[in-house]
Amino acid sequence: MEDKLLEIKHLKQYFNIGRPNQVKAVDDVSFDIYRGETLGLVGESGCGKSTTGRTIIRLYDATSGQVLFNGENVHGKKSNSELKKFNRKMQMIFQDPYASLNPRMTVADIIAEGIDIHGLAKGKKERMERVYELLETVGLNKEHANRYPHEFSGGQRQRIGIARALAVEPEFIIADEPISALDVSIQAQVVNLMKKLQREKGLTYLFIAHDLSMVKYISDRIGVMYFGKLVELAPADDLYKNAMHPYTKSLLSAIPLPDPESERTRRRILYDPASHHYGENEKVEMREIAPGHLVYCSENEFEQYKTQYKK
Amino acid sequence: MNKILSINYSLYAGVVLTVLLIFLATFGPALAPHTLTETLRTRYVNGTIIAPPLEPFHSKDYPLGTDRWGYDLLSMILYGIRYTLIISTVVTIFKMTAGTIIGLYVGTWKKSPQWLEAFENAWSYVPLFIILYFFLMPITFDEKVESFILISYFIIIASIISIPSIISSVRKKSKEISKSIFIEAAQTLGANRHRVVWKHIFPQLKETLLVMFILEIVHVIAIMGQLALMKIFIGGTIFRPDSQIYLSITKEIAGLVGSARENIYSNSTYILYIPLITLLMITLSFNLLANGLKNRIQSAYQRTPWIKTGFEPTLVSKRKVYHGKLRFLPSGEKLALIILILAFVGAGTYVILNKG
Amino acid sequence: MRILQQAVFIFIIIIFLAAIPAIIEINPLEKNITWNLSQMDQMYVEFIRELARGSLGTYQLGGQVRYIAADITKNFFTSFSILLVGVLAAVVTGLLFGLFLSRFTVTRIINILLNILAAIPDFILIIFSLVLAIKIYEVTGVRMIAFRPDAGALNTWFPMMLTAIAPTLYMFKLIAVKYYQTSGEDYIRTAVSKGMPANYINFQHVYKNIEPFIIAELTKVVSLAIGNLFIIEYLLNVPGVTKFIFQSNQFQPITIGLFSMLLISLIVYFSIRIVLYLFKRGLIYE
Repeated sequence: MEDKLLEIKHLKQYFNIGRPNQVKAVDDVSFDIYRGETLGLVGESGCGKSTTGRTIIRLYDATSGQVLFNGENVHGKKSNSELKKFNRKMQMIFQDPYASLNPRMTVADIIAEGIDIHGLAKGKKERMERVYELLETVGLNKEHANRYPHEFSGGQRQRIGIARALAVEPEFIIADEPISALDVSIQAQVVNLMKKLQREKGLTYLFIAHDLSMVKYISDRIGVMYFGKLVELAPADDLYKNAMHPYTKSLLSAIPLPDPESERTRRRILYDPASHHYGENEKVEMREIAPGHLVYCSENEFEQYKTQYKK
Repeated sequence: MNKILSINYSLYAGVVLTVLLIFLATFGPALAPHTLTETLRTRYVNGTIIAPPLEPFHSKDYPLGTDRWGYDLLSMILYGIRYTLIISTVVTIFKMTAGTIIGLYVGTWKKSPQWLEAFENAWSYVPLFIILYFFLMPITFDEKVESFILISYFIIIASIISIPSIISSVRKKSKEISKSIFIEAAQTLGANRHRVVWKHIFPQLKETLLVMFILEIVHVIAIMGQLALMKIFIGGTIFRPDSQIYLSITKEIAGLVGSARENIYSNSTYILYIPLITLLMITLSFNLLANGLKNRIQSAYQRTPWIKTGFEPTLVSKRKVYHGKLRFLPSGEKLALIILILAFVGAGTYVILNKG
Repeated sequence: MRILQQAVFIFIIIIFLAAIPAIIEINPLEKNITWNLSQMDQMYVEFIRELARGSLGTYQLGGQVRYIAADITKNFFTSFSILLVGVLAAVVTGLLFGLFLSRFTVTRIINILLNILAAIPDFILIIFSLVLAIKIYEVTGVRMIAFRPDAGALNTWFPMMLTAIAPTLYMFKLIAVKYYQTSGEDYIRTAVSKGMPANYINFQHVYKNIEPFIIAELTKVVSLAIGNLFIIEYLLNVPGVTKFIFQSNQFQPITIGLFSMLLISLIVYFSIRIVLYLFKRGLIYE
């Protein structure tokens, strides 16, 4: 079996607990991420995929559940030095490249923030050298160091954001819709940069997106979320070939193709949660219908899916 | 035409006037033509009687005239102005420092405590000068306590009671910024609260806090003025029962206004006008400075309205110049500032040398 | 819950403030300020005992001792009417010149004037107004102010005007700034692009968005008005509730004066809220 880097066990994140407007943003989600892979997490907006990412990295305190990083629990009471250790190993790339960079700081200061916090450089010279190196890693150059974020385009800013995350030499990066705020022509550049970095530095990604077409390109495995629940988790190709859960099917049917012929005949499959007809006592949970292919289903559905599954 | 209109007059006038005030506060007593105890004796000059109260602009020795007992108004103002400025500035430094630090940190909390908000609200109901009135009323009169103690007492209480309102406004601003995504980014990098506050939130608020600082000085002066109308003068009030008058011990300007208030009904109203206009000038110069700074900051970030509001500013935003030529002599604002500082130093040395 | 907490805080502040003049003492030998806290509980006990007897106690007015209960109704209504008119005038002028009329060339002069006045501290404005009133009297013989407490109508309208000055300027500045900020928003652009008239936009889009700010700052406005009311009643010798506060160092009249003031400000605050609510219901939601 492959080496598990991150195990998420029964993670729950509820907002406004105990009040009438309680929201179950993440509702009992469990999955593993293996070292060196890219796990794509997709779903419509508001389904809790960003919240999952943010809870994993502790931007929110989880309502319950565990996040194990290399076997150690990330959540729960921690001393400052332990927290810092996790912050170095786990980083995040944010969705909005405009809002996630402090407008009053130079690019050098933004990138070097992690270096300063963790004391990774001795002296100013080494710090600047690290910054230059990182700028070059993400495809920018030295001259950009003393400029301010507003002088850059969206794609360049996202590169700065990536450089900032890389500065602390993390093992695991959560990319929270890193390309959805970018121009289509830039998206591929950023994704390619991320793939290149993964090869060079052996990074592990959790790639959150709402666009299945790009996720398929970058991910090894894909998880589909619907209303705070993980409904299907499978290797990327398998998911495309053998989508089992009706919601996944509906998502796949929504991908437009650059081919007018097929576009004219493309039929949208609509998902209706009532179509499952779950009984009161039926246990609905993640079940493995084929090696590595998990679907959120009941016992009956499980048998049904298994027969449907094509080799 | 547009260029002339778009000059930030408010800022320049404010800077010049404030420098002038600092000059007067520093060298006031050295400039004063008379001491505080000297009085004008009634005498005959060329057949006319010169007797107090002397009107302003009539005598070279007493350019702004004298009060009813022959004390020189100009000298009183020159002695008093430093009290007004120093007291108000010290109070502002105390309350702004405490209020800013607490406000910044509380703003980064996930939820501001309910009792704090309730307290801020309750506190904002009570006019501050009334609180000070109750504190100072029993001790201000008849030189029972030394001036210095009274001043320190005022400074401490005035600072403490105005902290809640500063916490409240800094807290709201800090909260607004701490919701930004770049703060979250810093947190994922492992930034602790101190770093978030001082590296991310404070730099965003610097200019706003500067404007607030200057406006708070005016606020303190206003409180001193309100107290003066109640005959409570900072540094002590002397009550003369025989003539029913109240005198300020320190000659602090608001106090001078307060003690001259009764002259409103007399023929020599100028005794009131002169300190009143001085006080007006002090507050106006700070207000101009604050307004000028605000205009400069706002013109850079303000969105242009879509409808006619009647409040369109004429200012053009000041942009950073990145590739300016290197010059031997700095130009524009920098040059003006250097000239102003040189003038300050020059005039200061002149005053000291002449005095010696 | 929040309101309850606030009420408790205000209550504590008032009974503490009222006690201060009696607590702070000067040690004449060392010229020191001492706090005589031990008197405090005794004072509170006496106060409650007095109330339990059904009496509000006494206060001193110009050397004579009077019963608070005999004067409080009249004084209460004098202060109340001054404060209510002052704050109401502030909200109305603020809204008119800060928002609804501000775009006309004629009102622009008033706007500039209000902006200049707003830079001057309110106590200086009060003195200037007094000077002006006296000058008008000297020149034309028209009486605008009275300093005797029994001068009838003259006792109220001039104080009302003076009380209104500071809150009006504050309100005007606030509304003007918010109006300017709001008018740059995209929903205003949408409204303009749909060809809606300026008045409609001001009522339907701008006012609705700045009303929360007005309500939030209303406490501050009332507080400003109270502060000035204290000064004005003191300067003009108006027979309001401040008479109980400024005439003596006793705990009893000061507490009653401050609580009356609190009651007045609460009534004024809620009256203005009702006025704003009616305005919104009547004019904006047709």
